[in-house]
Amino acid sequence: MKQWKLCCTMLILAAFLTNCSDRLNVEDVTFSLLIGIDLDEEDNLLFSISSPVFSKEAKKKEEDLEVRTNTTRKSREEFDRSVVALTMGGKVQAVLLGKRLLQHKGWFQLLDPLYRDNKNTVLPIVALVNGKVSDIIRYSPQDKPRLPIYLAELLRTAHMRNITVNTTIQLLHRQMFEKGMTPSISDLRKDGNLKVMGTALLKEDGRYALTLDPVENKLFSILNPRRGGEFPFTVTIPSQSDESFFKHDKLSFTATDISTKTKVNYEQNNFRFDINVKMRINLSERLFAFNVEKEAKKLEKEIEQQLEAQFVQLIDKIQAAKIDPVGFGLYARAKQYRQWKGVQDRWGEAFSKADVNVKVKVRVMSMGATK
Amino acid sequence: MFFYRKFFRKKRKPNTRQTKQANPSSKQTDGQNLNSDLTSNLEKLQMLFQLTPDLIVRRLRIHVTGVEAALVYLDGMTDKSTINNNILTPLMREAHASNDKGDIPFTNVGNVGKGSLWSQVETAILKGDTVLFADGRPEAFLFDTKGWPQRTIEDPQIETSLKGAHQGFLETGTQNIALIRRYIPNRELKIKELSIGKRGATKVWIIYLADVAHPQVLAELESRLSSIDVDSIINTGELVEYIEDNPYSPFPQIILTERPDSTVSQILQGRFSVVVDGSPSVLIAPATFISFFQSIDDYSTRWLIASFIRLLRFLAFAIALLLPAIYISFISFNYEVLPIQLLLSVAESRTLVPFPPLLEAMLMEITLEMMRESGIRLPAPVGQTVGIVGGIIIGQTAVQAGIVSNIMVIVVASTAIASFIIPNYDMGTALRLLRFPMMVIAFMFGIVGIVIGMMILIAHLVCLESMGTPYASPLAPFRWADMKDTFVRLPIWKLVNRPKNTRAVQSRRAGDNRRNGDMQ
Repeated sequence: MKQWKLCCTMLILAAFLTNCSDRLNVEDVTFSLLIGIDLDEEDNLLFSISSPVFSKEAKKKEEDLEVRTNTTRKSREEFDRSVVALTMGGKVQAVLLGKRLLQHKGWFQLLDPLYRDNKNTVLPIVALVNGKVSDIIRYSPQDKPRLPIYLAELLRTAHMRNITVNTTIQLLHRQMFEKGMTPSISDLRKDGNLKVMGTALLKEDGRYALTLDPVENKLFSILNPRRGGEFPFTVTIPSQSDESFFKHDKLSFTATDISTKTKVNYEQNNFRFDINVKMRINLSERLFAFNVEKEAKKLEKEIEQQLEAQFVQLIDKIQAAKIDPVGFGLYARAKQYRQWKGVQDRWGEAFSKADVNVKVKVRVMSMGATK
Repeated sequence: MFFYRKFFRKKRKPNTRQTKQANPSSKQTDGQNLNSDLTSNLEKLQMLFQLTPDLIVRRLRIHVTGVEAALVYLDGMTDKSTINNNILTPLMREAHASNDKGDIPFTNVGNVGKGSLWSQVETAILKGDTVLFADGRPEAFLFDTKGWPQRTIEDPQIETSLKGAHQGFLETGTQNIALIRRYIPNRELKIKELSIGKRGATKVWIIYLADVAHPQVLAELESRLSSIDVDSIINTGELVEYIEDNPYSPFPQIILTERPDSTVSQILQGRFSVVVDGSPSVLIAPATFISFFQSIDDYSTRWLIASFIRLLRFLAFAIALLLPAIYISFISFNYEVLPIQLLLSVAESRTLVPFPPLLEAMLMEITLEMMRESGIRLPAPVGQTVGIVGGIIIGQTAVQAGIVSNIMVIVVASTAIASFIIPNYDMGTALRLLRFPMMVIAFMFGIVGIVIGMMILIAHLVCLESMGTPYASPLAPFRWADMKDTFVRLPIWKLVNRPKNTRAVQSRRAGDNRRNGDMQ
């Protein structure tokens, strides 16, 4: 009898266990793979999702939906009113933010449920959309895989060649709250095709500042200590300029083994950053005749000058916008804390006055398979 | 499982009716002496063996002395040529001058005994001996003429091996002992004979190395064997259920093997083997969980390969136990774990299936188990048909008909393959069974459920004992020295000591055999 009592007690207790009720089979879920947030012409908030449809009868493999509500969480309710199954944010691939949205402060708070609800993921990539978000969400290309997969793959691989950055919303959270740096996210555009425009740099409060094109983004990524992927460059060598129809003064190379050293000083009421960039390069394209074996030093010198000039342009652009996407503030805080403390709440402005010098050291490692 | 055990405890109380069960015929013969008169002896014999047409009584006159005598044996249980040539011929024809007064008549049989009790005579006849009654003697001579139909030694059927010996055990206990003794011609190889069963009196031999095996384990094994009170033991599997430590566990706690070579290797490690007359499998105790993953081939292949294969077995164990459960939890709770591409294809194939994941998985798993079981029962040529029917027809058309998803078919197929890698059949069947509760708990609680299930399972494994030695050893209690031959198999010359979990009293089994010189 005692055993029976024990068995019954265990069964009854098992019935009260949690986690039984929230079972949801995979086919009963509408995975919102893309989340879009935008403003329409009358400045109403627009939320949109794109999610896959698993049905043989369905002609289109995606369902796209757009609703007008106030918050992200409330938009889920609206979506559930018309999508096939229950909306879930566990597999979001990318969060698309409209450019109109990023003209205003405080948009970041809209992303709150993505961080707070632990059923959601913090790994989607954040991208700014130059244009209407709904244009991208509704886009279903014939020659591509389904849009969310295609978009995620596009952004991921673009980052591998350093065309843009890969900022997950987790990273964005850090960039937003870190005083020593400003956010940087991918920049997308749709005219005909989807196109990665480069990297959008945001101000301290999240408003849009400027866009770096892929070439600038590579330089920007070099300065970033968490760099990865390939760094292919094409530079013009002024000493080889000629008058032919095709300009033959171009040289392409891939930079490897990049290392940077950043020194911070405080001189004459200004910060001074000395950055030494070292890289080894492998030539991949050379349109002019040149004896690399013998005159490598000369070539290295010219490449260094070209790159340094490009760095100066990039830094000027960033300083003019009073932003610090690289995170020089982190160096300042680590090395010049006393000075940093005074300006930490207006770091963008302080950085714009800072003196930034980039020195590049290049070594040619290989010239390719032909002479 | 503890409540399960409690539930059954009532039935373990000693059987009060056991005295009635004792062999009734023994009452007629117990303690009765033979008569010295031949005719009255034969009459008594006829009375004892009623309705026994295969009992042969051959009357004769012993040539040397001229005494009337009778030879009694059971037809079929005895070797006829031995009786004809080595007993009848010398007795009836040869005029040998030697002692008639001597105890034993002149025959060409090796093992000759004497019996003066009817019970002895009866047992001897039933076991296949030939009994000679001589007129005027109150005793009978028992000639060992056992000989019954036997099969020849064959390759082991269940435990096949690539490089091991191709001899399997037979149904005759003495032959099996001979197979074992051929590997260890040493006088320390001791054999204890016991007899189990009131009616069957099955002979059982405990075989061990006296200077290696632990006497306490022997005493435990012996007391368990001798306390069994049954009619008869037909198979080793029956015996195991009587003597194992925890009969309610799904895990086998005693190794059953049909391979003499692996039996010998276990004896040499300090374990005990029990040969049961009439059964082609030999039991080995004490066993550990790990020992069910060791195969004799591990020691005859190169150690790197052997280690790889052994790791593969543990992986297969995990797959066979958990894969369907993981599939269920992935498609009903934890889909975030899957990469997006896989998730999309899983979801796509799931939409066609009208059943919940548990039912889908059960359907396929039970089909698989049925196919496996029917494969055993079917004769070999038809067995292949089952493979075709099962594999192609059920596998492919079930997916096309939308009864199961194609990912499920992959899951079931890999589960089946994985469970065949386990070298021991009993451990494999334990896995087959455990898979189902795992699936149910995964359906209810997802990955959390699988974790709970594994915790219960591991707790149970740690609690188990085999003949009083810890079953989960060398993992719990942890023994570093035994790890040389657990998940990997180190080179043979590294395995200097016997495993600690056998509790061997003499631990060293090899010297330093590593060759030095330029080979390093």
